[in-house]
Amino acid sequence: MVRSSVFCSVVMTGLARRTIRRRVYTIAVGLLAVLAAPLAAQVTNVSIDPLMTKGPALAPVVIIEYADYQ
Amino acid sequence: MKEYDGRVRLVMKDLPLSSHPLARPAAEAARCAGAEGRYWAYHDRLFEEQPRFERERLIQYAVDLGLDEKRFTDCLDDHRYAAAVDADAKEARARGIKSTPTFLINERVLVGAQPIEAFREVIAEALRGR
Repeated sequence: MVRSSVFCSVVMTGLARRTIRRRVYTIAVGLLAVLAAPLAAQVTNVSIDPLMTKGPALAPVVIIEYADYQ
Repeated sequence: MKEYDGRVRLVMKDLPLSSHPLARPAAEAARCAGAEGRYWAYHDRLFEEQPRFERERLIQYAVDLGLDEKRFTDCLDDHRYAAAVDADAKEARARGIKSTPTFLINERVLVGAQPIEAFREVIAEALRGR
């Protein structure tokens, strides 16, 4: 009786740990997606000063560099 | 840029960090040079001279590039492009960009000084339309 209840509690603890880990992972992935989405979504909405660009306006790849000189 | 001739457009945006007090006048100076048609030449010079961006040096770099000294100095002293630099920095903050350099390559973000291979990989993906 005691043995089986110890066994059950060990199994349950393992399951609970796995469930918690999975939940933490899901939340972390969700958070990363939420944080990354605004960056990605707004790439096309950047104001552009033509004097500070190189390459054709209709190039398929646009690299926007945020820089400071120092 | 030469490697991707015609397929890549590079857009510079200013994000002078408050921890770099001379980055802001440098950014304004580059735009003053841009107003005279020498943005990229001045930009390259600034990177060569980093971090020597005191006022007299900024003016000297302009003179070296053949820019009109008075016009450039007036532009710099009047902070003619301060609002434009501010606008870029505000835009960056609104996008959650806090460090430099940060690159947005189509829909991908690269933060920090990355090896050239990292850029090649992301550009190749973008060109494949991924």
